[in-house]
Amino acid sequence: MTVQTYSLPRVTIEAGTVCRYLGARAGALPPELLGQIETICARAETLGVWRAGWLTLPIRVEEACVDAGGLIRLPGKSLAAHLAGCARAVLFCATAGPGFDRMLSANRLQPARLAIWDAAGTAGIESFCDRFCEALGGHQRSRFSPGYGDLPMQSQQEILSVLDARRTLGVGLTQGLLMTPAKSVTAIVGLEETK
Amino acid sequence: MIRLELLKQGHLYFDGGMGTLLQARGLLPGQRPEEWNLTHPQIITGLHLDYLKAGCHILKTNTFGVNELRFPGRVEELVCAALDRAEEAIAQLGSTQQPRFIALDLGPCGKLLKPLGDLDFEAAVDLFAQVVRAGQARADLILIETMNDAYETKAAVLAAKENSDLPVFVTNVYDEGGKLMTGADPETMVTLLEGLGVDALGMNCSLGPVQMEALLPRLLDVSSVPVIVNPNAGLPRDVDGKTVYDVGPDEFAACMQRMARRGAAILGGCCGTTPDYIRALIEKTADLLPPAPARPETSRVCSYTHCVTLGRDPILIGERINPTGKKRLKQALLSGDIDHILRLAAEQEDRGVQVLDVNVGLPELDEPKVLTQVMEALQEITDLPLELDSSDPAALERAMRRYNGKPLVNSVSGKDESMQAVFPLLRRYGGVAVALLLDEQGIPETAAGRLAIADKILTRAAEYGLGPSDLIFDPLALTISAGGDTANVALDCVRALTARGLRTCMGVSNISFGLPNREQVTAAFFSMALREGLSAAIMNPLSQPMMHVYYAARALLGTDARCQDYIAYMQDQKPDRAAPAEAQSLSLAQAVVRGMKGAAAQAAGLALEDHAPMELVQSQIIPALDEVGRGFEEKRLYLPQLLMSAEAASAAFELIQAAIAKTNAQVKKQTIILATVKGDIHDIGKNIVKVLLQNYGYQILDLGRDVAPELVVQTAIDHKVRLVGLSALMTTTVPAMAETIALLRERCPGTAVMVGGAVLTAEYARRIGADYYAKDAMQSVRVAEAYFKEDLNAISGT
Repeated sequence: MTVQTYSLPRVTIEAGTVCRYLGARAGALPPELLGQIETICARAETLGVWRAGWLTLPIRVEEACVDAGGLIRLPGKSLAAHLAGCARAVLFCATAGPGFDRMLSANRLQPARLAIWDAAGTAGIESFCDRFCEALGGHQRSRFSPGYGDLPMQSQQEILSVLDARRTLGVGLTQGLLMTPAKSVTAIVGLEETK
Repeated sequence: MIRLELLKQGHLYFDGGMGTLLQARGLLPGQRPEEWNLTHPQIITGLHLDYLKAGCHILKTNTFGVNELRFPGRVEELVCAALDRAEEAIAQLGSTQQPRFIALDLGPCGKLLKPLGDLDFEAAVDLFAQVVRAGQARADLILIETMNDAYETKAAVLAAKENSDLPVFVTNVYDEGGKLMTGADPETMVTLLEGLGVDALGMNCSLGPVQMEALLPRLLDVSSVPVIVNPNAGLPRDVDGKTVYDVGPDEFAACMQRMARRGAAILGGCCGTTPDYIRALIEKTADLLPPAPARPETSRVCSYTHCVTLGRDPILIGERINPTGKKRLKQALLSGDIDHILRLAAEQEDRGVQVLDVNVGLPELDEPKVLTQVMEALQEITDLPLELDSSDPAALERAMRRYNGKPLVNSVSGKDESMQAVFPLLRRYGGVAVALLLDEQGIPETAAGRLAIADKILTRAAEYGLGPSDLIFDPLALTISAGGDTANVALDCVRALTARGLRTCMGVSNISFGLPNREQVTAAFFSMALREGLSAAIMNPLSQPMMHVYYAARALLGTDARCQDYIAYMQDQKPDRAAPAEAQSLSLAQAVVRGMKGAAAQAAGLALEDHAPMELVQSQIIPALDEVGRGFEEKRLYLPQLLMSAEAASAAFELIQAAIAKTNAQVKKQTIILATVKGDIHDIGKNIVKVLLQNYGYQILDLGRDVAPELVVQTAIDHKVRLVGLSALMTTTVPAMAETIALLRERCPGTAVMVGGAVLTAEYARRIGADYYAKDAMQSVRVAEAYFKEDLNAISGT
């Protein structure tokens, strides 16, 4: 059982998605502002060092818990319901690296740029997760992360530990259970068996 | 203890991977290999023994992840058990020709340091120090490995140096592009680590030998200590549930042989390598002798991402963060207005300086504390290397210790007292010091007199193990307006020092003190000094004549290949044709409404000629922001537009504040505390709220992020603050918000609390006891306005 890694030199970040995260409709923004958002999106695509570490594990779905490979137990009814019928799942952690954290610090006095960079980072890591899941192939259930439903945030700790994420990806947790770098995701993806 | 003289007889060899071999013996993902020192002692000892039999000299103890965070209360037990295993293996091997050594192995502590994470630098030093103290008596060296962050590496090296006399080896993890996760390149790590006085340095993990071979020259070209190469066996793949690496022992050894020939001195392996790899490696390289390390005579300083070389190509050091003669900066320092200082930094960085000087010397301030605070704030927004500028050795020490990189240090002089204070700091923390050519007798009038002081400084520095590359000499530019031959003397010194291969630096602006049109004189002097070989100038990058001279002189002196920098610089100087003419004629209010920063600043500058500063805030900025705010609230405008207007207002506000500082007027403003609560390190929302509130004229005490309840309460008491804004992003940190509110209720009953943040709702806010809930930045302004008008009925929400 080996944690494998996946990386991309860039991801696609759509200005429209970033506008949506900012609560705005791209068409309704003045052109200069939209231009600024597009410029930031283009830079954000390569600012991230887009990497993921993952393990495919057999899972056992219990009533209010999912046991993955005997390595980790993910509590809660919502995940159990979400993965019902799956025999295997992929546990993964994806990160953009600390570039966005630096960029957000550097723009702390410029709120517009700050908000745009933040949204671009979020759009970027989501886009990277999509690409990663596509690369896994097969029929999948949608990604499920700690914090969804009743899967507690504390589960992040165990997921990161099973994936040895601090060492392989540089992803850790603060005492308040925030991931560092901030633009990181942990999730489990149920695999549907194909006949 | 290991001695590096052994390298004269041949290469030194580390063992290979441990984790992957343990996994093959049943260790599951998520289980901790260090436990096996106690639970599976024969397996650990056996692995060590296999590596010794393969011929390695240095065993890494199985302590990679041991620290108090991961193994509370068990550090000593696990370190001792790991040392037992290594010692047993050496004993079982019996006596051999080869010397065998034990490296106390320190891996990353598992948390990112502030500001990227929440672990304080000194807390990280303590974590490593505990492991070092537990193992140093029985180890032969300390190996700090797999470090992917420059700052954490520095913490570990300080812990090793301060708690043992053992040699310290350091290997970092680079990606294929040659960067650590947090951005440092190989040259930067060499600069940082040599400054800290490590004995050997290099790379391990993540990359296979082929990728490391490509990076190796970058380490060898700059390193004056032996270079270590411990690659993975290529990349891992999962084949039928088993881990397979894609580089086999023979390919591995062949590649390592090439690296040995190039100059890598200490060789071994990391993940995926086994005793077979180490055996093959030794067979291939046993008859090679490592070349003596080149001792490149270069002088470098660095930040946490890149280094700057001091030498033939002159660099600019921005002088503007220095309160001498600057009312606005003085006021900012005294009131804790860090943002103003950050703006001074950003402005100088935009003009192209390579280093920023940081001086906060005011008699009213606790300089050691403030210099470090300002330095840390600067390192959050810029990756330029800094020049720590203070005459107080205590201030220098505190800042040098926590600086993320290797700083320029301003300054040491030929005075005994100064050298005694500063040289030990350079030795301990690393740094290049500006050496002022003056001593107890003052500044010699002649060049010969000043050069004699340079000699004295060099001699004394050598006693501390420091060399010419640790110093950059400042012959002192004294104003020509007082008469005397000061310019010629300084220029003669620069020429003479340059001829000796030494580096020079001057605060060039002093030369024109007391003269009209100073810039012209300073620029002419700067040009002459560059011709004589000046390596660095402490100067004002906002001065156009100075910048013109800099780029022109580099083109003339041949350090700007094909005049590329000069041409690029001059293209940037062209007036911005993109700016529409109508922008020129906008009022301040119009510019703010349209979110046009440049136009807002320009309009504010004009308006200040015949309006009182605060009047502009009331009559132009606030109405404009109100208009945009209404548009946002009515969903006619979106968040980015509101924020663009806030940025435009801020640009105007900077000028308004400078005008206020000039008049010495005391402006009575309402004060609001803002903080992101304990445990929460995301402060984007809080920073946006802050800018908007400032635009409305409120004074903000920004306590930052991850703020303890006690600090919020104490600040509220000390400054008699009536409104506190708290931000929390996650459900996990809302309890800390509730705790802060409870403590405020108890100790400052008259103070109101507004809260905001992604997970909060009006209902949630009420439940944790907040007075007001602000769903967005505009709402926080509305809350503050209504609160201070004591028109509480006007507030919707909770």
